[in-house]
Amino acid sequence: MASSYSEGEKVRTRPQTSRRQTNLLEISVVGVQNLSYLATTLGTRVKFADHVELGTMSTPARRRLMRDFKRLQEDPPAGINGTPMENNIMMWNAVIFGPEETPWEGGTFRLTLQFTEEYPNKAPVVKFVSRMFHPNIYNDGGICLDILQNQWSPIYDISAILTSIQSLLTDPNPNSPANSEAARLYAVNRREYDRKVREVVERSWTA
Amino acid sequence: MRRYPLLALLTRRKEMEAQDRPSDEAILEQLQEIKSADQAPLIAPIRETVILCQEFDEHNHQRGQINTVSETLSHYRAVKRDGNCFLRAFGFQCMHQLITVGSPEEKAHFRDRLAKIYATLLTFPDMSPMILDDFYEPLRDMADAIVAGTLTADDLLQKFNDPMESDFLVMFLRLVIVAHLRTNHEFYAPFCGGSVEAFCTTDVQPMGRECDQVQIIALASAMEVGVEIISVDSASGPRDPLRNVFPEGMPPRIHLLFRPGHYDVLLP
Repeated sequence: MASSYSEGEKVRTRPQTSRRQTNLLEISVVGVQNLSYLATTLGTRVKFADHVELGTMSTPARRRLMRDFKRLQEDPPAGINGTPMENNIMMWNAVIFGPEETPWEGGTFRLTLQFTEEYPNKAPVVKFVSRMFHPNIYNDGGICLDILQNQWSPIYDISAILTSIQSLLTDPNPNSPANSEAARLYAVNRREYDRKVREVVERSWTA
Repeated sequence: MRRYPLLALLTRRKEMEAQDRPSDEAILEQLQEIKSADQAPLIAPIRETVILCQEFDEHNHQRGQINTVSETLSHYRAVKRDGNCFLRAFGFQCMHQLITVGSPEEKAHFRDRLAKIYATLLTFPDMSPMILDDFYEPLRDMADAIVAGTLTADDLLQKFNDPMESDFLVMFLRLVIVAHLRTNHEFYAPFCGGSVEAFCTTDVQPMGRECDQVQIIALASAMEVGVEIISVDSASGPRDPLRNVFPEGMPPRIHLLFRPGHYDVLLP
């Protein structure tokens, strides 16, 4: 499976019995390159400006991404996480935790967000890196979500994007199937659908 | 959009011609037009309105209507056809008019309206300075410069032709509409398919979403700037285009030419 992390940055996650989302992860790190990612994963307040090269070339897109980052740190929505890659603020890693009391519970789903200099006038390309089973998520991790496509608006920030994707998990849109098998099972055999979802939840711990 | 390989296209040509399809030449011409429109500036220099007659053949009602328009509004500025044309045209012409002929009161009023709308936006739970300031600050700075008399018409044209800056200005105008619709949701809901909130998400906030009557009324009312929409279409008579002023009863300071799906700026 494709990983968004380069060699030497190995973050392994697996769930514990604790129900608190911030404690869901037990993380063993080989190498410290991904310290910033790890810090936010743990919910630790770390100033990233020193670690992340946030662009000496200040463009509207980069300034906006800085602000998005600040907002994510100051007002982190429950169950989501996002940080720019260490050497490239245009490329972000994110984690969405499966909402509690749903078949997605316990899942730690990783995504990448790729921005262009046209952000926020153009939406980023958002993809799941973790394998997913969902009516609106393609096999390659691409997401079929109106606010990322024809309803994109510059007022959506990273926090809003990730929150929308999180609610898409439990609230699929049957009208725009990206995975026909998932769409079919969701419609006709919810028990089997939930079983497949729990499979990707378990897979998300090791992948 | 489906794409046919060239060969398949050629073999399909005959059967499609049978269905009264436009000629290949006409299609090429249209493609050329779309392509050149793509390279067109966001706000073009001033041209004579009568030029627009060439877009219609002589038996077309629209041609006569353009002629009538050109008697009082002899010039126009083409605005890029990217779905933001109404907002770009409105924003540009509103400020251009203030710079060139606006009274000190009108200039101050424009600045104060923006500040008030910004304050209203901040009262909504889903808005914050971190999101709004990208879009508000450039416009606020321009409004301040207009009041101070330090923004020239050339500066304005340049700013409106810078893609990033221009789109930020357009986006704030979209937020002006959102603020106005939400504040007056009881009035607007029936015109918004029942839900102002859903309408804002699908038809106001996304960049490139065209403006219809609801958005026009909301923007003109929120900014308290009268706008006349002169509609050139085949439904109107051979000489007289349809004219509407929003908000009703307010003397228009801006005149826009509407052809289905598109707005341009009209000037005396």
